[in-house]
Amino acid sequence: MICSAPAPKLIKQMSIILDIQGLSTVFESKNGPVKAVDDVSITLFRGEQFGLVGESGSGKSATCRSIIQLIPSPPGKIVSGSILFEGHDLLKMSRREIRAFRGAEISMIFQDPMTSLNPVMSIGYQVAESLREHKKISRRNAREEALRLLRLVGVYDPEKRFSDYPHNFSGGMRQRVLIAMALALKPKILLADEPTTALDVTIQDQILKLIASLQKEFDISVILVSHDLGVIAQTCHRIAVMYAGQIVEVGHTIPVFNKPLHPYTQALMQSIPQGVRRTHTISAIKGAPPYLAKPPEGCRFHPRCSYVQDACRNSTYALREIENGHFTACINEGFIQR
Amino acid sequence: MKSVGSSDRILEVRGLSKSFGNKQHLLAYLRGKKRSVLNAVTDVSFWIRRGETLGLVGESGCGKSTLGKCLMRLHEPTAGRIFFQDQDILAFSKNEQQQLYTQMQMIFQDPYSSLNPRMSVFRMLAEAMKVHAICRSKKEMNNRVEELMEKVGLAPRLKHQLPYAFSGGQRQRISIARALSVNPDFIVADEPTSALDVSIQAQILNLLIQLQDEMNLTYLFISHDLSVVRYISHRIAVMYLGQIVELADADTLFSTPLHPYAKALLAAVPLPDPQSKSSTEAIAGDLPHPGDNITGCRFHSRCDAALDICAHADPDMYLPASGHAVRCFLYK
Amino acid sequence: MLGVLLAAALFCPYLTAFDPLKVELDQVLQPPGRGHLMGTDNFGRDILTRVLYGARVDLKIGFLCVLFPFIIGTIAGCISGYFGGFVDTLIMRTVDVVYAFPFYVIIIAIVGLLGTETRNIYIAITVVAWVTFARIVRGEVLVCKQSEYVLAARALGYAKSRIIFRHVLPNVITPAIVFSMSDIVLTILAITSLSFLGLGIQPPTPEWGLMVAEGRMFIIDAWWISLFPGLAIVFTGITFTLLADGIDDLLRPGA
Repeated sequence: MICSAPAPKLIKQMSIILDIQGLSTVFESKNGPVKAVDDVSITLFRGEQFGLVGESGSGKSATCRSIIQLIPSPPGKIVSGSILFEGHDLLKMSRREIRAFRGAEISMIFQDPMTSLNPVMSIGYQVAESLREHKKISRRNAREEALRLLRLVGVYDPEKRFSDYPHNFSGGMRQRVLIAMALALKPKILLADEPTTALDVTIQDQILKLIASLQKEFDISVILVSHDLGVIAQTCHRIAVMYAGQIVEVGHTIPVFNKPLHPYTQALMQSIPQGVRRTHTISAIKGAPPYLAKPPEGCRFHPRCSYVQDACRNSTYALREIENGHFTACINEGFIQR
Repeated sequence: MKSVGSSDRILEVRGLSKSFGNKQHLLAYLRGKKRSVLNAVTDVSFWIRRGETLGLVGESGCGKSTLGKCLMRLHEPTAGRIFFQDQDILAFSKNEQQQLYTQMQMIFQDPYSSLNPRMSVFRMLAEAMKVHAICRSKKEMNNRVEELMEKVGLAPRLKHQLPYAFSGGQRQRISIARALSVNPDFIVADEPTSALDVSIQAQILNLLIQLQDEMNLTYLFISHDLSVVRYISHRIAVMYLGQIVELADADTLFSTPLHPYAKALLAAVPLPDPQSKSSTEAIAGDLPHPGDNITGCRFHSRCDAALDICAHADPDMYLPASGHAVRCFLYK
Repeated sequence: MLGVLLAAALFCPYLTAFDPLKVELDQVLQPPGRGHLMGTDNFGRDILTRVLYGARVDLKIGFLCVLFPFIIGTIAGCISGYFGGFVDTLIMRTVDVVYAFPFYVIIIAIVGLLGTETRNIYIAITVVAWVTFARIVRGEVLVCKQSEYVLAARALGYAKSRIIFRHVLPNVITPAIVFSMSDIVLTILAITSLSFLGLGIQPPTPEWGLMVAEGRMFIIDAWWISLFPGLAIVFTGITFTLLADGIDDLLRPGA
């Protein structure tokens, strides 16, 4: 693994830095309200890298954006839950108060480095901008600090590249710049929404290692969102698997991969052609992801589940702890104890 | 695994090159602007046996998509020869090329832009059959459309639906059906699963394998995803900046990669196994800009095993072992 | 609303008892009231009748003067966009030349040159109006050309003509159609302006612009002569604008 995982029993003693409870975000669509995030609870510990994995439509991106309230307000609305950060409930804050947190305490980097930078401003200006926005420092000091950050994230020759524009940079370089911007104010939490999906595999490797090293060096807690199980497996201490807006399994990475406690997690792992030759077929999950405006009754995965029982059709959603820190939403004891 | 019995080569490519920007506008010339030529594909040679899948893998800008399109004559190659069933297709007349399209077909990456939004499934599939005069009567055409839809796993009753009514995975199935409607022997699959969710990707990959077994199809499977390529291919070619740098059996490539880039590429893929050891050093640097003029081996600037000669001369393909070709001075 | 307009144009002979052209000197300058719902003009002609007949004239011209530019412009745009290169440059530079001249100047010049017969008005407007369609369509074609379904059509060995007419055209034509609806409004306004200036439809043919112009002299005492044709122009404008919006939604494939 890129990050060495702290032993599971130590986790309980580490401090909780972000406590999300019962978060629900709803989007209005012409087919009715869509619960993109449904009763999501995540506990983020200090200094850990937490992975949020799921396919498209699972709600992982929406969850991230809900944390710093980047949900576009006419169609979307956070309807319930609490997000406790250092004693403050982020959801109870006004937009102005949240803005003070964004960038300074909690930062976010997005998927597409091509469009995340303003094309008409130089790179250096954009990095320095976030510094000057939150701290009242002089332009010269901001520039010094920006150069230091660029060097930190591995941009070669930052003095020269300071006045370059985004189009002079490759995708990997841009993502590094975005990381520099995100870390400019030394946030405690970094939200990374599919930061490497748009990048080539060798560049992805560089960026993931960069994030891991920065995380360790500055003791930042990271929530990494991805659909790529490989990325999650190699970089995260703990993971949560999402399906149709709900978390279906949470736990330390190694136990979850060794013995997934939810049929969806297991099916997902079996559908990846990793190291498999065509002699063993990868098993696809039958059916299609549910229509979120009208999700299935009971367990949302039950129509596609190979272990479905009658009780699954009208169960209520709840996460149960099975082993130390390993939770699942599945009620099929036979599957769990297999 | 169905054995690739006869060793007849259905496709052979020799020295294929494709550059863009060769022609220059008069005005630009008069202004003294230098021509910026983009060498997308340079001197590529390979062959594929009937019934086999050759995987073509590489990162963005390596030229794999351009290569696929050259085979389908969607781009005109700047140099080289392409032999399909021992015939030189670059020398074909218009009619012969037309006929060739019933033997070589292509499926594309983006399920949302590879189907005409205003044509129903039926019309799309029927059109190909009409243009190539495959069916004799309306009834036969109708039957064949339904047959094709069932073959790719779509309900025939949906044949008059427009593309918007289908999901990404279903659209790719329609794309596959469209390619199959002319009864091809060879299909170029250009990243057909890259835009799909993981669980849907598995469905489509299994479908492609099943069709290959049933119809003895030959595939050129282009992808940036190594695990997918390993799953579906018999042999794999790794491309970097327009050249094939290594070509070997799928298993051999993964167990003993030889070219430094191939090694780095394989090492960089994150395995969904948290207990596996990943390499400590990431490969340094970025891809050089494809328009730049590079002397010597194209990979030497990022290679940690580079020799002196690598900066000056361009290596040929060497054969350190039977069936395993590498473009690297280390194996001369 | 469109129905009302069309009804007016088609059925007007049955709606009124009056002859729009006949001069009735004893009915001169009657205000709106019984017998003449919109009053009469200085020649004693019933305004309502003339407005209704004017609908025919204006709609016909509006429609035809949009149809020809639409066809010519769309074909030019398709060819220009799909084939590119020299043909594209040629067509687009022609477009630029036409755009360089102010709209009315060209029209007035042509009409002035050829005379004020109705046919020449069609010619004049067509010469000027096709360019916008060409530009719109060309832009769409350039985008569409890169779509994978066009690539797929080429890979299936379809002839260029088939690709252009069956695959590209249906997908690029919607913005052109939407624009044509608003173009009808613009054209009618152009016609009315021309007639107002005396260069368009000649009297005594009822045409709204002309009627407004004719009523100018009497605007203080017999305001109805200019008002009602003016209202008709406004009404038509609103109708087609709303239609344009509706068509856009209608032609979008799917939910």
